[in-house]
Amino acid sequence: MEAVSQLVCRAQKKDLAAFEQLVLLYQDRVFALARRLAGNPPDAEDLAQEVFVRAYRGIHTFRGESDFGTWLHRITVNLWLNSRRKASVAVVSLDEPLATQDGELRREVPTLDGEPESMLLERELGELMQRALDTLPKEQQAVLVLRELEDYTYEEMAAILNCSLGTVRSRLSRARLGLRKAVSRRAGELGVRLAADDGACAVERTGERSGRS
Amino acid sequence: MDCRAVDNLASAWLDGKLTSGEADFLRHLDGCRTCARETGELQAVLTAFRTTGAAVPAPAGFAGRVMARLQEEPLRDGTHLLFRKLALAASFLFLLGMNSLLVGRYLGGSNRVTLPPVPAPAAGPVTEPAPPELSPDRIEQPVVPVPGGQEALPAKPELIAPAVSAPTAASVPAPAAPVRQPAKAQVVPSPPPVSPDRQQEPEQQLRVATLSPAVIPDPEVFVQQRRVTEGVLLKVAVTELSQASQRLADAAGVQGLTPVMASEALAEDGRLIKVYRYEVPYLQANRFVTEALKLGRVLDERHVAEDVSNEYGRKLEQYRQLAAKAQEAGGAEAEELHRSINGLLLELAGMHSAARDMKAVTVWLES
Repeated sequence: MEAVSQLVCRAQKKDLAAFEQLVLLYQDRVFALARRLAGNPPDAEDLAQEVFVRAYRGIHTFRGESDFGTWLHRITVNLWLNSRRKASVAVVSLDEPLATQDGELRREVPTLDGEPESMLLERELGELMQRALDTLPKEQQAVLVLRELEDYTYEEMAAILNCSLGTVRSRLSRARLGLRKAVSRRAGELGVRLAADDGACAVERTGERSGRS
Repeated sequence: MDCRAVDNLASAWLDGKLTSGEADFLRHLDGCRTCARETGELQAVLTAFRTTGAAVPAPAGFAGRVMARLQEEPLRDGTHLLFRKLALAASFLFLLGMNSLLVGRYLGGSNRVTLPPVPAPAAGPVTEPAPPELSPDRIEQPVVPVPGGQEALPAKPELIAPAVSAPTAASVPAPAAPVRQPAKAQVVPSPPPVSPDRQQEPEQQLRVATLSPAVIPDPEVFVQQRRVTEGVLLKVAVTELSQASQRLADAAGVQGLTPVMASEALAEDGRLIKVYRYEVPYLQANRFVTEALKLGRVLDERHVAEDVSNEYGRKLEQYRQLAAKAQEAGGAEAEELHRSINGLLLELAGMHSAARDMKAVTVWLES
């Protein structure tokens, strides 16, 4: 495998084979971020594809000042921020009866046999987080994802988002507080409680709602 | 320190960025149960957030799908997505060096943005001066299919020529040039001149003529006089790029304006930048600029007046020399000369018209 800089150099001369190698090298990094931002696999695929298409078109503007992966992430975040707000997906609660012409039907949710309680909780937690995240403005979602999930420094985030350090700092602060509030609200509705335990987090059922499993 | 301040500092404290105020912060937490609980909750929520956001690898076949898209893409040469139609509609006014300069000025100290090239004139075989500070990439030129499967003959150049001598029948075959669609260069009857200077100017009769290489009009009609072109460059930060573009197009539409150039550029960070250029009749310019300024936060507004008299004189001189040379040359050399001459004529006509009654308004939108 050639060095990334050589591949970039060749891709800048419109060498598609070299660019393909770059796609293979960076697809997981780009997709992971796209998935975290877009929130669902089909949108993530669209976004990630678009990132590489744009990157190929604009690769001559890449001057190696930043890491190539960071450059791709920059495109990812900005494309996502510029995309129209994703059409709000109608969320149905599994617990609500489904109204049909034949009266109300109860939704049946198959439960995998032997699925441990912890798995269910993990899934529930993931859903809770995603929904809480979705309540935040896009700019705040972006800093949260970049900081908490991609582990970027403030300086890197400022470069990616093309804004000042101060903006990053205040945006991140607002985003974190917003997430905390949205999570508590949502947890309250679900009848679960987030417990901090030496920095770790656990979901506890408060018993106000009957468990699904 | 009050609770609100603690709220604002918690985030920095979690990242270890609270150096000077840390002692105060912790003292407050010691004494305030609510803040201590909320900060603990914040830590827990963020931990949970991190655990649920595990990296998902790209799905199978992803790279293949990307490559398939890239191979399907028409050759676009780099970042440039010049809208084809608009590029074709682009008039000779492109050739005004001023406009590329205007945009070029924004690029002065910035190495972050690559602008698309000033589109090559979409007219027939004219010289295409390489855009100076911009990338040499060219816009794609559509091939005009001709029934019978043959490639279209080179389109005859339709140029602005001073109405001096009627073109005689083309005795020399049109120069072989890449197949292109001709852009109709039109000279709109000029609105009433504005400034007193302008009023003194004798009315020039310009019309569209088909210029055969055998005929070299005498450009005496473009007398030497002071020529100043004016332009406005607006740089506006907008929240939603496509929406703002639409609003700009609407505002222009109301005034009967269409852009003579529209291009997109991709900044290094993936942000899109759209640049539109309008040639606005002098009297309308202020109104249009006011509309454009409403699109978002104005980052920059520059009014530029450029005295192009010297450049005009230089080009005129060049034109005359070439014309004299062309009288004696023959064959391929003559064709080459005629091509250059046509290009110069376009530029002269463009400068003349723009200096008189048009204002170039360039709107740069970024989000």
